[in-house]
Amino acid sequence: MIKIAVIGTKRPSPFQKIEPQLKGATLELVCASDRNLLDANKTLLFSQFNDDLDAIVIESNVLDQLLIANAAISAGIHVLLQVPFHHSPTDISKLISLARANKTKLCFGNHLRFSHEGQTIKNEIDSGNLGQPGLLRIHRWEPSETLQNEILKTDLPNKIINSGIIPEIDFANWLFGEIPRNLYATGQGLLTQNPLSSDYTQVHLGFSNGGMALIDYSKTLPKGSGYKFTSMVGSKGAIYFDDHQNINLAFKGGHPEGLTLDYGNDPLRDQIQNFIDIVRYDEQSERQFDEAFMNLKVIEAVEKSLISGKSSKLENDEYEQL
Amino acid sequence: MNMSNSENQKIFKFAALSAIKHAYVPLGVASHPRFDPVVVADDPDQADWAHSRNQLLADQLNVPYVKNVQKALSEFGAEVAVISSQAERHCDLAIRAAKNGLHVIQDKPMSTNLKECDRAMKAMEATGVKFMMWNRNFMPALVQTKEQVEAGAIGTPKVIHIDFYFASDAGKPKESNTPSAIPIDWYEYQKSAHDKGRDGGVGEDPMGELKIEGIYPLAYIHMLTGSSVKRVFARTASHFHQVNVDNNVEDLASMTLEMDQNMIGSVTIGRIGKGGHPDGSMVKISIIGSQGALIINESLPRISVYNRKQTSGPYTIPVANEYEYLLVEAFLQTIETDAPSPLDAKTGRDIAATVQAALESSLNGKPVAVK
Repeated sequence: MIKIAVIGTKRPSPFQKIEPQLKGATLELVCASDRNLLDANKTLLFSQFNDDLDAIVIESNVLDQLLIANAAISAGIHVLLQVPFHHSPTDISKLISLARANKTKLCFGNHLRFSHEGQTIKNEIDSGNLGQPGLLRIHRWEPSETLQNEILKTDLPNKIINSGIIPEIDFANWLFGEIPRNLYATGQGLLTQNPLSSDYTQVHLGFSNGGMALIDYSKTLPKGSGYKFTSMVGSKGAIYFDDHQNINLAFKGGHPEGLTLDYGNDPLRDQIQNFIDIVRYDEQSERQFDEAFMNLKVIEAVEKSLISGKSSKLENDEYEQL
Repeated sequence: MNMSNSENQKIFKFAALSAIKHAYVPLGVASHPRFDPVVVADDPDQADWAHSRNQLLADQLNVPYVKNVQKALSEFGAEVAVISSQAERHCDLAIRAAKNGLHVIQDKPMSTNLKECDRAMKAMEATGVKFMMWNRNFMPALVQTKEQVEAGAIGTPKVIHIDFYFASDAGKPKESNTPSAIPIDWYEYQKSAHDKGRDGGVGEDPMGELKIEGIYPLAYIHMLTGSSVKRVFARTASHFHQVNVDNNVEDLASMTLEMDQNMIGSVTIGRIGKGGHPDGSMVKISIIGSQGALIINESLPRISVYNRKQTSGPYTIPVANEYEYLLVEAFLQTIETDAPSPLDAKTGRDIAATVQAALESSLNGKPVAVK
């Protein structure tokens, strides 16, 4: 049985729900309310755990992801780093080297890879049922005023990329099995009118097989539910995952009210179980290191495109602006 | 002048100029109670198959077919020309009609050549006749969307996305990324697709889906936002059909649109093959406004039909779909009251320019300004 601390989760309930379903591990939650503790004395935090802690999950909203990951790996603690991580490819490269040197597991987590739609699309591509992936379309809209966004606003200092789109970009690259050959991004502050405080980002990716992805992320909806749409059109078929199709109706006079459904916690459970298994069965993947490193190059190029208004193409593993 | 007995309203006579494509446009116009066909016409140098199709429509409408466009324009009392020819002839026929004082209803695309669009736009301006590109802006869901936007339900629109997929085939599936040893002839393929109503790209110039169908989603954007596209970044692919590979035209495309009024938009479009959606199409409109958002399924309302005999879709039937009547009615208002055309020559030309910029972008990998 390994013991894992989850650091930075603002909403512990999903982790509490999945804990009984996990095999081979127990979870200890260090919520964002403990952030002062993290900020004040990270050494103290780890000294509390050092004796019996095997691994940590560092959630995407933790400002000091890299610092904590470094400290954990140095202490021989395995790490799952959740995207969006706001680091340079060089920083991640150093972290990877440290993990190799300390023989600790370092994983880069994206819950979308374990999502219902993600697993379905990936399986259909891998089985050949979908044919060649052609066009991935993602709309991901969130309310402007949520606790999560409050945190994310401070997550990426000096960056105009909307952090919520980072997992979606990684997701697209994962589905196409490579990073894009060509990309363009645009965005703006729809509500803020401040171009340096983007609440809307749109990313357009082109892949080597001629396939493409068009992703938009907004955090401008009124307070309440968000909206999610993912479709992948392949040469032999297509997959549609759309909140629009998964809404029930309640009649309370006047027009009916849409009732959104809870998709459950399976993706989080599967992701954490995957990390547990990597730790338990020593299944560190070198490919994941390469993917994380190259994905950060994509994020860098997207951000440059947002600033310059120019597109980029990939030449010898480096993005050049056109 | 013909007048209806019941309401004393003028009946407009129209000439169908070339009906070699599937004839939904002239038939749609003819279904309106205040438009009557008087003649079908085409140029005498058209091929026998074209004359045969024109004759079929003339027989269906119970009007004469003349192999002389000028005669049709000047001797039958026609006041409106309805054009459904090969794409590259659209504008020339429209200009000839306008110079004879006829209003014009034209099938899409406006042309395969932007200069032809410019020429037609100038002719409409010079003659003062009214012009409308055929469009789908009066589909029930679009009418609802427009009402919601105009009522301020989501505040000011800021972002608009259109997904526009037709789940139908265009001949045999793509076999490789390289053209066939004996490439499929575009024109011959389009002619052969007539019986299935999939000859939307009929003409000598090969056209991808951006040119064939792009006007529909781009017209939605124009109607719902009033914004013009300023810059386009696009990706295209010949992903599904060998006829597209052989003729180097796309059957799948995506566009990022940068518009005036600081709006951002996008369009995905494709003829994605029969297996791509059970309903035969997947068209959605997604709009983010300053105070909310709209998610619209263009195919609603509809009835789903399933039975043991079905081997493939579409499995749904659109209902309450009187968009052809509403569209022609709107153009009637344009003619009679000088109301704005549902899709005038300038807008049609700008849409063609957007498509041209998208195709250029897909080649050079850069965002391209719409000129």
